[in-house]
Amino acid sequence: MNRYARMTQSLPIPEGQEARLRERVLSAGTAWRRKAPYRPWTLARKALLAAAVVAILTVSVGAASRLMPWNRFFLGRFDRVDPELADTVFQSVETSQTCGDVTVTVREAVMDQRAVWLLVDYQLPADTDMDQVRMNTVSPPLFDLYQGSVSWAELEGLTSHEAQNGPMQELNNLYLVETTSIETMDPETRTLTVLLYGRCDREPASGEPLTLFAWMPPAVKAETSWEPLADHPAAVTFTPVHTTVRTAGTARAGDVRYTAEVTALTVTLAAEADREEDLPYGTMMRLRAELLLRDGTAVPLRTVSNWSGGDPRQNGDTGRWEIACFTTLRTVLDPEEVAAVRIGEIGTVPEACIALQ
Amino acid sequence: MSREEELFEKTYAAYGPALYRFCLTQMGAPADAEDVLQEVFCKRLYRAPDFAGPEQERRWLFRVAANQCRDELRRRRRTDPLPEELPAPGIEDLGLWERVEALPEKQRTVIHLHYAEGYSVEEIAGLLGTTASAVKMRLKRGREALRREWEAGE
Repeated sequence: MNRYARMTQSLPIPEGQEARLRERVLSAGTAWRRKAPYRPWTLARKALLAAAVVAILTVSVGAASRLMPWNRFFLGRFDRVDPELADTVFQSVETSQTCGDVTVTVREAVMDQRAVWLLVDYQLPADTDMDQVRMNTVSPPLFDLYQGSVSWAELEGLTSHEAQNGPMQELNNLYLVETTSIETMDPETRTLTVLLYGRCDREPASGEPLTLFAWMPPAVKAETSWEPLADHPAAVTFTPVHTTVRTAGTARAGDVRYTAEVTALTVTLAAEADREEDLPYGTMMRLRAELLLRDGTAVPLRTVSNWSGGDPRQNGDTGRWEIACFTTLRTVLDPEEVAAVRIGEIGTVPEACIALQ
Repeated sequence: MSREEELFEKTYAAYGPALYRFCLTQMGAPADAEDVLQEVFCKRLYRAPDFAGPEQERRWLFRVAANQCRDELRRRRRTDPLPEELPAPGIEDLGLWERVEALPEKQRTVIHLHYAEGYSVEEIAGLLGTTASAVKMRLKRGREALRREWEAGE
């Protein structure tokens, strides 16, 4: 094998590679650089383009992925996004933790202070029957996301229940992991590539480590039950870097008090009133809401977001009724470009315009 | 010279050729290796965390390169035929390069990192996010496959 080492050292580097790469990498910097001040497309124009671009993306995924900082697995979760804005929420994490016979790697993150998308590799134990995994339905590992750090040494030998009620209880479970999907499975490396989405109701401290805790290992469907593909939990700690820009405001509409918050990846609308019957429907808030941009254009929220809604609940402290509508965007916003949120008339609740600061 | 130009020069001088050879082992064609290398350098210049030292930086770069190559190969496996363009080895090495390049991805990755880059078994395990015993097994199987091929060819 020494010959192999000598041979690779003598492999020719293509002529002009350094200059060529320098030019390509530096010219790609515009698309990669964070907080770029240039905003070539207004949100309204982007929204108008979105429908046409979806069709184009289906035939040019390869080309599109070169423009975006993130992995192709994110393309299905977002419509057309300005690469400069995508840069404000993207992070190449590439952090691994081997936990006994499995390894968990957080590869990429798209996140702000309210929402997080993570691309994660979960490598199965060496003795996994990959034929069985390939031929049957596989359920992804189930994750929780905590603020704080934990080492494998602290979890080793514990069941999921013991870990959740032991070391993990010391950490702050800020996030609600809503969806987890297996994007690919590589039988050669026994790796499941998983995309998960979570949201956070309370604002996490920026720069604090996060721990992704796989409390339930992946499982394969057997005839009458699910067989777990590992017999222990796993965790990996990484340090996120995310934008913390957000704008918020309140406005009164008849008997209702609206609040709105805009972050790069989310828009949250909430209403409160003395009586439950005075509240607007949660889904209608999203359908009737428009983002009013500083350049004067209005973008219907429903065209740039996924469905979401909430149920009315009574605040135990104030006795008032509340309803919240948390929407995840299919684009990336610059919150400072959104001047206000207008919510049209909903039943007896008149139109309101919520100025954002 | 901007900060990014300086960082590019420093990174390329320290790791560029080694990363290129690694990508070439994975991708097979120089142009494809250079495409992957571009992505790796973009991540280094615009997205990388702060590194405690050069060895941590080197490990991070190889990990990003390995993941990037793996994604690209998976994508191509679905759509493209295998690349036929190969670099020209010296006459004395004729056959060895093709044989390593023909190994399964996980075997050629550890063979290259161990024998060409000098990483220990434990370091490769950390870099690829796997166990030392898995790396040892891949090295063993890779060596055995090369030996079998070599003996069959002589």
